[in-house]
Amino acid sequence: MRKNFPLWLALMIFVNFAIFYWSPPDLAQGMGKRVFMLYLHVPFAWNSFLTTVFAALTSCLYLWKKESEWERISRSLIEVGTVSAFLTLMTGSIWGKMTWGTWWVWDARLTTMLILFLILCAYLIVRDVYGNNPEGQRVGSIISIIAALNVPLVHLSVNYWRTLHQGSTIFRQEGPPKIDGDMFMILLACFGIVIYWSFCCIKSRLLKVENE
Amino acid sequence: MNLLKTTLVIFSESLFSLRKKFGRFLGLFLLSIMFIIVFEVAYEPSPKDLVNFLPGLIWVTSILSSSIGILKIWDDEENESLLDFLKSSPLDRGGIVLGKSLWGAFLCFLITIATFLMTFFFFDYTLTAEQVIFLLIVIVFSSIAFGFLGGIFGALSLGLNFRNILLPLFLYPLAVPILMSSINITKDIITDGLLVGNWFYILFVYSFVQFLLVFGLGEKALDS
Amino acid sequence: MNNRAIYADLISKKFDNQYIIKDLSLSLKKSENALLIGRNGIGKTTLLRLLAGVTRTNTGNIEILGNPIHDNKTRSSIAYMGPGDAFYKHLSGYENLTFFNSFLNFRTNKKLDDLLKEVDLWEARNVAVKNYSTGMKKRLSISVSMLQKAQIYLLDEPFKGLDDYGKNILNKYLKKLKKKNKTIFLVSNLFEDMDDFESVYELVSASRLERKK
Repeated sequence: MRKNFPLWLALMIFVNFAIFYWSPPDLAQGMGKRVFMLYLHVPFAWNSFLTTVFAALTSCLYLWKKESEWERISRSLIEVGTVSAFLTLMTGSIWGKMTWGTWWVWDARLTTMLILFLILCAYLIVRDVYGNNPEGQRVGSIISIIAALNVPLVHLSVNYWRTLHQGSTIFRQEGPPKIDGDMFMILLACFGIVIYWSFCCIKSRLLKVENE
Repeated sequence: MNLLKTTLVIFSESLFSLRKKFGRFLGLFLLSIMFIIVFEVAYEPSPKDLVNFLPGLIWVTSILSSSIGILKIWDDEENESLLDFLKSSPLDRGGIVLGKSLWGAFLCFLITIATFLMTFFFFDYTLTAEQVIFLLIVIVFSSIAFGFLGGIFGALSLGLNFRNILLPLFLYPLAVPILMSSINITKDIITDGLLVGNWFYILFVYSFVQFLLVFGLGEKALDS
Repeated sequence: MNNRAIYADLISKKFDNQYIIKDLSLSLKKSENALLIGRNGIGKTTLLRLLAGVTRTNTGNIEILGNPIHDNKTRSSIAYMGPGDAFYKHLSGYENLTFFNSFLNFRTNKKLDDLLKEVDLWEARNVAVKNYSTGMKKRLSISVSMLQKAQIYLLDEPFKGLDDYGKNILNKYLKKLKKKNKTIFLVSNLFEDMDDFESVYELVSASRLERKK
């Protein structure tokens, strides 16, 4: 990331411009709430789901082919996914305090997301305790598959339970996305930055493991 | 080497080892969160019921999570060769047990504080500064009681077969007074803001008894 | 003046209602260099553990340099090396040595570095002990023994698991101890070591300790 500092700086400037000057105002929420909910919280949430699912796929490849390379990729993905899940919960919590006046509610979406976060943490703990033992790698792979099975539950929780959390806006079961075009473009740009950040983290982690 | 120096040596080794075993330690906090989720899903308390629900939730969660940590405090010394070496060294044997018990109490303290913080965060419950200070006092005494109980029984059960099953069987019944008094004191604190009462005397005396037990019998506990 | 380093008078030790050591007496002079041999399972390790104060006798007394064994100060005169690995496995060799140094001797860090170099563990000093080979663990045990400023050295099977290089290191260390007139009581079943010792004892049974040399 240090090598790409000019690129990061340019991306940050662009995103700040887009959020504070280009994005249309939200009817109900102020500037701060909009930033938290849409442009930070949602990209991190998507990132955590994506990394978890990919980690499960690479874990399946590891269990099938028994090649350590797949397990290393899976571990790096889970690490990024855990951080993303934590940031999702944190930004959501801050937004909740600003909007609902409470840091937490035992809502289906929040509870299932917290459970996903705990499963990802369990993976990291198992890998930390077992080290690079094949047993630890096997157990970790199974945990990552279980985490991935939890992802649809988190996503669909707002459809099947009565929750305080906003329902599906973009990936809806019926109808087109309920979001302004400009907002959606900026959201995708923020998501792209988060993906790029994840990619840099995973790459540097894999290089570090290789050098060890 | 005298009792105090030995206690500090053993306690600092345990603290240093935490760096190497941090994942396991973190797991205890995550376990607390898991227990909180399970209890919440099972009971779904309304805001009116929180005052009755929270103290039980917090203390059962912390005792369960802490007990897993406490069961592990003598793990390294289960290696008979290491224990033999420590016993043959100039270290005071009572100090070894006291150091381990102190470490157990410290672990309990951290886990209980974290459980309190997480519970009040998840249930959006706020406290006054006075209530926080009173709760800290209760946490200190209950940590001493439970930590020292785990320390002495852990030492007594070293070398036993099925230690991992036997130790909880000793520990949990003896932890009931700690649990009962802590829950009731916490309820009194969050409802009336009162600390001192019969339950507090029970907790205070129990933690003092545990301390005396470790202090007086620690050396005998390691003798075989 | 009392010339006895170790004095055990009619000591007994029972496990599960069976006598491992029964009414045994032993006396070692200061600076005596003694070897203890015997069949596997006869009780040599138990005898050494009793003399090191690790475990208490059922009957009888043990004195170390004229003082009762179960005194913390008396135990500072003893350096005991057991048959197994007396280490915190999650810590590195250097960390283990630092921990033991904190209550055995308070030597400087430079001295700890020198000790690790002497036993050829400098390169592996930051590796966790659980990843050490048997020989490396034995050499680390030797360095812990070197750390101590004891008068009496009780060594249980110190040569076990060592290759020729490790044996050379241990032999050099034992020679150093002999030069410093330390009392050594060593357990070994490797009979080629007998010539290096001024006295050889054989534990024939629970109640019979014979002096062979």
